[in-house]
Amino acid sequence: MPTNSKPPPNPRRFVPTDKSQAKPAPTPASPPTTPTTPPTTPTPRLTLYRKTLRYLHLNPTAPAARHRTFSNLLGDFLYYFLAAGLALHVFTKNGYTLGQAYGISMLPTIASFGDWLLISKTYRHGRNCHVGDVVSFRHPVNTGSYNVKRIVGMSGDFVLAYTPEEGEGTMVQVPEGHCWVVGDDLKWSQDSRMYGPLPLALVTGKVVAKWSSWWRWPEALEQGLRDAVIEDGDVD
Amino acid sequence: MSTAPNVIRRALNGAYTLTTLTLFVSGTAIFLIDNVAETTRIIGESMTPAISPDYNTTGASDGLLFNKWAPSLRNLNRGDIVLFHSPNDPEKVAVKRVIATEGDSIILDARRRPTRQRDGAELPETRAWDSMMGRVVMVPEGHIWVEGDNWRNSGDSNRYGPISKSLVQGKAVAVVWPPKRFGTRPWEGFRSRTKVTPGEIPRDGEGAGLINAIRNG
Repeated sequence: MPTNSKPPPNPRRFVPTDKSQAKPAPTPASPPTTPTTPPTTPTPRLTLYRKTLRYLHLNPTAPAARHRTFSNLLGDFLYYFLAAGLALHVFTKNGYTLGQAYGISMLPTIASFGDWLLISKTYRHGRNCHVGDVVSFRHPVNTGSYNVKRIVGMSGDFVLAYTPEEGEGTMVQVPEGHCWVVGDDLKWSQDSRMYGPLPLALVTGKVVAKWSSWWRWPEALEQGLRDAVIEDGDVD
Repeated sequence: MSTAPNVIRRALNGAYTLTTLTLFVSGTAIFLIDNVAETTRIIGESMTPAISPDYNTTGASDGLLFNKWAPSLRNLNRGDIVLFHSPNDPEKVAVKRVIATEGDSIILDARRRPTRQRDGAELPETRAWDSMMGRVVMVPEGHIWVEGDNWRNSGDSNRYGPISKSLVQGKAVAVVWPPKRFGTRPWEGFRSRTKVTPGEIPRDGEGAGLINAIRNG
């Protein structure tokens, strides 16, 4: 702060406020013989904005004098934990999520235990889903359970209502806003053949890859569709 | 003090604070709206006169607060107002009243025969409804029967059948708009003409084989 030879500073006048950049107090050994030159660095004005910042201890140029106490550490930890948690929630709801699968209804595509599935949530509610996609959905009968099956018919398609070579071969048309899901292991799968068409609103995402062992790369899931007629152009 | 680097430093500091604050607030808001509670305007006249009573005259829609906490959505009682994804259009969300839960037997209300709105012509749903009319319909497991209060104009289970409970996103708590009806629950005490006989899904016994298989599959 300036020497005590000056009158007390009027808050409305020009006053240097920043202590970190304060000029060192003039030593008594150097009397001001030369006329005072204007300061080389411009001094900030104590406007109402800056006074508010100082009052709230938000002065951006003040040095960060935080000691490493336990409560400070806890505060930092909570901050980052909250930030990570919120980011993770938004990401897993709308981006990608990993889920563990168990059950034999999707053999051989998905193993009965131990496979981790990468589910893309951008396909939720059936957006951009096509026949052949393996999707994850909320179970229509077993509230709260999430299942994974393959779509074999979208809205408007005609699908076989029961297992092939069983039943009478009845075909149904999938209603609007629904899809028909069937497990890959027809013998042991409980799917649309039992509970009817699945509303697309229950679809939570599409399985894009499965991770079977931690030492292997994730493998993309095949779409599983084959041409009905295999064209062989060779003349045998 | 106001040198160029200082100005830039302070501007970046302010921008950093503003960005992190915005991200925190929006992240928390997204989390709360997805998992805890949501307010939404009820458009349409299918729930008059309890909710949005002036919709067909002035277009004014009520705002309702919905509880989206998953554990409390497992207990749906008859008479609750629920927010659910429409089974026929996955992008649309509908609000109706729960009339019957799983295992209940209902007798359809003859006034609620689904026909085309503008001229009363028959629809494919009309034939399905006619085949169920006069019989006792049992609500399957994991499903609920929803109806709008306004029998004259409501697209509900009479049109698309019982809906899966997994479609339900929220349960109404109270009205939040307009302010003079804030905090009320005007939908209570509604007497539906659809006759409901409470019942339970058979867990063991003859009829339980397929149901248990589906539940465990």
